[in-house]
Amino acid sequence: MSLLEIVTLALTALGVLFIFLSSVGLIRLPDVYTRVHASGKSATLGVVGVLLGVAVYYVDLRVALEMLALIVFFFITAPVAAHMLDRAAYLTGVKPVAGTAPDDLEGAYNRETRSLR
Amino acid sequence: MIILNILFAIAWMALNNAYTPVDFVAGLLFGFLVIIVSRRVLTREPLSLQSWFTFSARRNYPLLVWRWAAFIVFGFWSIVKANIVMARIVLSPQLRLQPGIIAIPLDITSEIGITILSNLITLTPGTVALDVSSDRKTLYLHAMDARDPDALRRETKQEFERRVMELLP
Repeated sequence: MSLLEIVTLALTALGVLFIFLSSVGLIRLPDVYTRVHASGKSATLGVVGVLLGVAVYYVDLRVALEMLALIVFFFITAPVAAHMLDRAAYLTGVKPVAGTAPDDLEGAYNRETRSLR
Repeated sequence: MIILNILFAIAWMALNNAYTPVDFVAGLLFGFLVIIVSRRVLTREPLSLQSWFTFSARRNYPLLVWRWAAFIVFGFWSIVKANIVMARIVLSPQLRLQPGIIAIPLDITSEIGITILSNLITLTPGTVALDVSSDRKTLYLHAMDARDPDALRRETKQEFERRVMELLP
């Protein structure tokens, strides 16, 4: 196995490991809000690992730049998705798991206009 | 300034008649040097020795480039840390969580600044930006470990908001 193959394998394996961990988090964590942590965070490094693996595999500047662009887009969009999921859950009245304290959002939303104090 | 820097790079490529990405990066670097040398002329600052030291931070292009670079490194390191923290929580045999939703007053005012700050908060350990109040003055975040809300508030303001504010109003 060449060095490039080893690096590709290591990066991809690391990526897959983190994606796996984020799925474990989705199952084990108790409520929407904590699960968003798992999907929004562990998945980022997982996807980055796989994309970097692809970039190393092809040893091509064009592919590397494409992967870099994908990583940047992913870092921009993943937190937005996490925010939208959390916000939608709170607005539709999904209760956080028992023991969630403090809850500064309690009563802060105007559910009709969806404005937030 | 950044536009000027890119234009310098394009001019560099045109003059060398070489259009590879390596030439573009070289053009960026030489353009950067030109901007450092001539920055007082470019920003119409008075030409005096003193102005080298009293240059305002937001117009100081080299400093801004340095801060953005440091910010990107810091952001990436935070992401790696966040994933390790997350992995440890997920794999711990017993889930002992004390999650909470915490309001943080914002000093940062620009929309793009708030966006970058909340993205950073989501990608960093233990916190997810949940929403921003309609008047853009309070940020709500969900924390995995909210046993000490005040420490979390302080940390977020000093670690993240300060760094973003150095780059954007």
